[in-house]
Amino acid sequence: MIKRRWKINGKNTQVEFSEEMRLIDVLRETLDLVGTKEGCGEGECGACSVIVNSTLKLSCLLLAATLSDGTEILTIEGAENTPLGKRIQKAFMTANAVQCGFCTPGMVMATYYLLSKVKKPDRETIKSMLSGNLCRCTGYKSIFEAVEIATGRR
Amino acid sequence: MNFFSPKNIDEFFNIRERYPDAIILAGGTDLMAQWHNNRNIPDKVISVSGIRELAFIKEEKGYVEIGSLSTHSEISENKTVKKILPSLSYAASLIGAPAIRNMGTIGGNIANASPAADLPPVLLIYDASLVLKSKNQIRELKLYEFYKGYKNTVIKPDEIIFSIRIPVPMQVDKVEFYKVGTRQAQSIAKLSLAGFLKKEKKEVEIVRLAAGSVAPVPIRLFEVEKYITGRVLTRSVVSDACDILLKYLKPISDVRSTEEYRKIAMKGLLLRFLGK
Repeated sequence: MIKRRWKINGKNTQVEFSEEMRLIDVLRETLDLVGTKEGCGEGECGACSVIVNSTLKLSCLLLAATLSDGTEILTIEGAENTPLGKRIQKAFMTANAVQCGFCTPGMVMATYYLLSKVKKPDRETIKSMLSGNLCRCTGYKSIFEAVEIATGRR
Repeated sequence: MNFFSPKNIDEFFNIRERYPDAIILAGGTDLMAQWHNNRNIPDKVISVSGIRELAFIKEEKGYVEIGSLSTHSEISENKTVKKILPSLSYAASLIGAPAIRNMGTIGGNIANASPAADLPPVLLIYDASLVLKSKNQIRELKLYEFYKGYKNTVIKPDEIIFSIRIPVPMQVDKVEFYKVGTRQAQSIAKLSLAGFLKKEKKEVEIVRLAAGSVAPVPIRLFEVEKYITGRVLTRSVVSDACDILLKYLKPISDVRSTEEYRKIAMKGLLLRFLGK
């Protein structure tokens, strides 16, 4: 077993898990943070996107044991409690950017990462920063609009 | 699984000595997907993510040196790389999508030895070398000497890729990287071509060409280069170059493309680079 002390969604958390577990397994099974979704399990769909030490990562491709003590992890559950996360959440509702909702946590985290790096991204930048997140419902248009609403561009 | 995460390179060598058969894990973008999909998790894993001395990019004495743990994001956004090795920056920016680029490393991209890897063709035309370190030794070899066969390299069990050294290129007429995929993001290349060209008046003075996804390993097209060097790129010279190119092409048909398509499209890329 591996023992780690991480800061998850702003809270210092002790966590214990087995060596072969991926970050998504630890989040969902050990910590009951089931907002993060597993789509493809091979890095193609982005549904499992989370922010690790201020960087967007895929929790399905991350061996949890590789994250040392002190690692900061932000998931959809924590994003909701930040000003930026709240703004993105509202914008997704305003733009009707959610249908089945399975891709939404990943979309929101990718948007969070984008907007924490670039204040007012143009449409091309938005498209390229969300290019790793698949959505089979919306056709993306409403999602791009949501991101623009969150930036105040719309 | 026995899991090891050395904090520095000396610690790594000590662990490696005890477990020469352990799998080395860097960014995990390829290995983690394989392990999970095939339900085939290795017994021993050494994670190198904690060895921060492997993560650097610097320019020194006519070389750009990139530590093997540098991520594709770091490489594509680095100012030195952008300025001196624009095609490398560009190739790194085409890999996967943002989260993948934040995870995958240049060392992993090379060591994994996939014929479809994006960085090797560009590194080959920039004439890159690898610095391989073991406990008591350090050796440098050209990237084109590194690949032995499909997913197979000459690295020894006690060695690690420390860095990639790339000579600062002279003024050139053209450096390009073409990647053919199903879409721009997230595509694993159907095929790719990188080219480096310097002319003296009209004659080709220096040319380097390298291709991905058309043979068991990323390859330098030495014979094509040799034929073109010293010649003016007339229609017939370019056409002969394409014939020589065919000798190198041993593509397979797989889920991404067919053998036939890869051959035709690769010829198209060479024509595009040499400018018909």
